[in-house]
Amino acid sequence: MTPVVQLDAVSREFAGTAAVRELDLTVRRGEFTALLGPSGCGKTTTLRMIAGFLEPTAGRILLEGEDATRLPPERRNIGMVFQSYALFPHMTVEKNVAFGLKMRGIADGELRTRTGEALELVGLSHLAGRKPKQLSGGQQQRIALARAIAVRPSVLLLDEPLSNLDARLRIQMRQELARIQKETGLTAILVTHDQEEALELADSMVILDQGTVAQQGAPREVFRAPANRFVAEFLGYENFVELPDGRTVTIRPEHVEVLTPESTDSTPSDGTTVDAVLTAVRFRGTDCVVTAVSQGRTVLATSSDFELRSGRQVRVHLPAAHTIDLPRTKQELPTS
Amino acid sequence: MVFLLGPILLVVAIGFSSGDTVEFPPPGFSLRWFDQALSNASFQQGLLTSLLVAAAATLFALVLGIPVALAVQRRTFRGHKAVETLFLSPAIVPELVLGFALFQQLMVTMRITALGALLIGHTVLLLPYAVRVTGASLALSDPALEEAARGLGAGPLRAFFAITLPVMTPGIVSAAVLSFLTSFNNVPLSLLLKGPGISTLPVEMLNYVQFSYDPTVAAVSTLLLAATVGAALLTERLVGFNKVFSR
Repeated sequence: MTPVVQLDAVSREFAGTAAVRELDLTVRRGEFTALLGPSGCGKTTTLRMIAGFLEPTAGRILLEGEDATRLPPERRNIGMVFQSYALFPHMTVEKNVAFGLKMRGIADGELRTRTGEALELVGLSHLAGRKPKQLSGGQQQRIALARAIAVRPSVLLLDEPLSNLDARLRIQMRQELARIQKETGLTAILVTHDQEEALELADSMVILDQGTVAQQGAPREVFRAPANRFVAEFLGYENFVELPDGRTVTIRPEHVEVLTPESTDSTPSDGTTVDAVLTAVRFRGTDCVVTAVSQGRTVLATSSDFELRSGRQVRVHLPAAHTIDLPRTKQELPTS
Repeated sequence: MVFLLGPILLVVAIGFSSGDTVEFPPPGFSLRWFDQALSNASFQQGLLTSLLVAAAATLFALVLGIPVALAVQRRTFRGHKAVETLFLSPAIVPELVLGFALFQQLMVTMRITALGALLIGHTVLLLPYAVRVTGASLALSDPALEEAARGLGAGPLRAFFAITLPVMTPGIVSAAVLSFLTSFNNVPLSLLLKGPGISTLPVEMLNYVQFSYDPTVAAVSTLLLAATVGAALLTERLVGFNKVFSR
């Protein structure tokens, strides 16, 4: 089956600076792909090139198997949801949603049916006659989505669509977005800097670093086995420990065990155990987060031992089953 | 408030005076100075010239200024700041200097008629307003709107006429009102660029008070005031007064 979107060694420069470097990307039909990374990683530039708002400086873009590298946006059959929603302020909700259908010369009757369907899909049929200004942020977001879906695009492009919503609404809209994508079976590409959003929504995530792919794969795989320190840090890993044998590993704080003479006096047989001093204890209610320092190296751990105090001598155990090996990244390689 | 409205109310009161000279309080009420003002041939000519020049110069300034505003606000090209500054410069140059320069170039060197010179001069005068005010309304609107239209299947022209232009409309109306009033009230340029039988109403009024000191000018001022307030109210109804001046 031909991929819906395919990027072959696509690059984009801005005044001599590369924003995207020889990026390859394949998005299959019905798949939800997330482009993820910190600001400046090239994710938005990539999306804008797929939409046709930016031309690549090198490489090819194929849409539905056809070369679309130089095609203007209006001839790409995309549905884009902008960060700012970009609803047309002088048109009613209904006219907004119908705009793409009108541009495609779809007859009145069908136009009305499909506009109605799109509004129903986002659950806002009752607001058809309103102007965008009269809607809440969440409602505007849904209308922007309905407008993009109404044209039955070959790919739905979502540019940080939830970043302007407050935290509670964002989680709610995330589920809504997942439902709508499943219901319509649309191929979608989401640009986000929120790793939780990508982990929850995407079938496949692509983590970008300085215009190249740092890691790509199913969210579970990527999360379980980050390829390098950049990816691990981006996904929220906080512990980066150089073990006595020279390996660098990462481990989640909840998997680190803090041992005191009261709790045990035996040394665990697996993994690594080091002597450490607690330098900070943060109480969180159900547990506390402690900062343990051993020979200049810092490890965060969670513990339900509420007797732990700063300054305490402990032993810290990193179970082998939970440590993730990280290859040294280029920046970390010794220069000699 | 007293200094703001007081003199204006005084002028209005004198316009309705029955006396022969400008005096306050007026000796009685009459409309004869309005009759006088409306039947004065040079005021009639001045009003016609003023209206024509203001309307045409506003139109020219908008036709030239809107593309400049679009280019400056929506594109980033080398020297786009310089272009913006260039088009805003007539607002910085003293109007008498501008008027004299244009007089020298247009009327003396190029031998353009007074009406032509007035039109060109006022267009130059209004360009900064057209660029600034339409530009401000563009700056406030979301640049993604046009892209959204393109993404939904509209070509560049359709996107412009279906989305960009309607979104700019309040800004264009504001710019038009502001430009029209600026041109209509202008004295320095009009004074230098007038010619035989062609001069604007404010210039005629200035001429008139130099020779006669009767309430005719007060009556004309009252009429102008009424027309301006009327225009402002109409704009308020159309786009909202706050939008006009919240640049």
